[in-house]
Amino acid sequence: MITVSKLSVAYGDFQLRDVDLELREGGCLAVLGPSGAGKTLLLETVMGSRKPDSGTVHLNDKDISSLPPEHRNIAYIPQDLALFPHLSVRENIAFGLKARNLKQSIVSDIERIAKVLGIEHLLSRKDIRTLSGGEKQRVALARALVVNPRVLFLDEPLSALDVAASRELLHALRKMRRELNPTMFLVSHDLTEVCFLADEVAIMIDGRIAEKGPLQSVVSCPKSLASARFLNMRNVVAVADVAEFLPELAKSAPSGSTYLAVRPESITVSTNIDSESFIGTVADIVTLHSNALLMLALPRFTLEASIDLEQSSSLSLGQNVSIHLNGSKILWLQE
Amino acid sequence: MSRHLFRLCIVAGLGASVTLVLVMLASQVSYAGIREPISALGRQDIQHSIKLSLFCATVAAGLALVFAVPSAYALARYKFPGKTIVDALLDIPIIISPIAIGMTLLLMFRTAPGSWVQENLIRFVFEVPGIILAQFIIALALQIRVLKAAFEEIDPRLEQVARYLGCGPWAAMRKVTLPLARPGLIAALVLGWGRAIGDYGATVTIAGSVKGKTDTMPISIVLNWSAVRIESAVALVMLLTAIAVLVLIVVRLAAGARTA
Repeated sequence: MITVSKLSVAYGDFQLRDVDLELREGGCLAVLGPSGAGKTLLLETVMGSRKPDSGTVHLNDKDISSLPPEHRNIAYIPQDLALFPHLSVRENIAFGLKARNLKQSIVSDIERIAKVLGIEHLLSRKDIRTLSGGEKQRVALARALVVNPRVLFLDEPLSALDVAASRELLHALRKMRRELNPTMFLVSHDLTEVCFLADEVAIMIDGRIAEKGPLQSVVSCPKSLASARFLNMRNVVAVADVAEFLPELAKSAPSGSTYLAVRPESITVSTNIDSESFIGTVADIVTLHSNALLMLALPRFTLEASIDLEQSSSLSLGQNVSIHLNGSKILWLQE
Repeated sequence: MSRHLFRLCIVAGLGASVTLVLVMLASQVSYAGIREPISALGRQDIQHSIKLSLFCATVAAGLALVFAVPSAYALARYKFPGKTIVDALLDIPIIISPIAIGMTLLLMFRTAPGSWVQENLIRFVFEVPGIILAQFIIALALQIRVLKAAFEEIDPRLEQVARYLGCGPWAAMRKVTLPLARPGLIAALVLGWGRAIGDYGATVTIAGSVKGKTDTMPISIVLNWSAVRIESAVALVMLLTAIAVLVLIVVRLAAGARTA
């Protein structure tokens, strides 16, 4: 549906470089990355607000790189929603229909979308400033969806909401996806938001796509060091540092992998120490509600292991323990 | 003690300012009374001045708004080389003396292109179009300033969203930007009009003080004062004062609508 090829665009000193992305019809692609990674710049370039310096954007095999935004049949929900403050709720929702001269069934279209999003009771509201954050989000969503856009672009759609309202709206968005099946292009820094909505994900770091693919594969098994760090993976260690203690493990590293990551739950510890053991010292024990986090100090790095509460009570600070890494759960990372 | 003294000084300052203005306004009535100035308003020459002022200020302010909207929008939205200089240039008519503006316009019509315009298109010097031109320049600078602030208050993302929803740039301007800038537009129009109707220096320099022809209300005040027709001068001063009060009320109402 949307194909972004070798897209580059500069904004001041910042540069978006060689971005390649694909979004299939009815799918939801999320561009996930930290603040300042260039997500919004990418979104604005794909939507047509900015002209790319090089590269193309195709919509259904048609090059739309130089098509103005109003001719792309898209809709956009920005971070701050940008509801028109001089218009009522109904007028806000009708705005796109009027702008596109889709006035024949304007009343029924508005009521249909209001029903899907559960905002029928808000249609008579004159002043949008009196709506709650969640209500505003739904009105913005209705305004975007009522025009039946080919692609719905969302820029951090829930960033202005509190946790409870955000979770409620995420469920509403999932319901809306099931019922209307729109094609969605989402940018976000929030992994939860992405997991709720997306089926494909691309991780963007410093203006480049570090990694992309199906949601589960990228989020659970990142292949690049930058992605793993952004996804806040614990126990990211240089292979060279591990080689001193676990030479066999280091030798098994795939070509090009210079780092490895181990989830805390894939590390087991034992107090039985022999000459072959990989030994660490208990630096800290943090008791959580259902498990405990064990901080293990090694000469060049620290590991974080998740152990059960019973085992944590048998350990003490400064105690040496034998560490076992589950080889099949190790993620190999490329820089 | 020091808190009371501070409060006393502040209130005294405010009281003195208000008293000065009130005494100034009251002295208009105390000097010539109320009946004579009101009857002077019915005189033909005074009526001509009023009509001429209303006509010229309305045309000048209306015309200036047509130029002020795109100028202010460009200054509020676009980044371009030399923007600071352009911004400062457009402020010149606010800073320099109106007489200097009139003088500059007069000199402009002494240049070759200016003389050509005078001879082949419209005569400005010592003519009514000269009044409109002088008032246009004065209103334009003020309107750009007011509108720039109004446009800067509007989130550009609203226009962006309007574009994605199917509006072209003109439609986005018409359906989103201008309605949101309406209080600013009203304030700009009214302030520009008020400034134009009260102008003396620029108008008298380019259009002269030809009685029955280019004598706007401020010029007529000076002419009547010189001819010791005090009641006529006071009548026009009272009318200009009433217009000023009306302008200030409208501007405050518009500002209230903007912040509401």
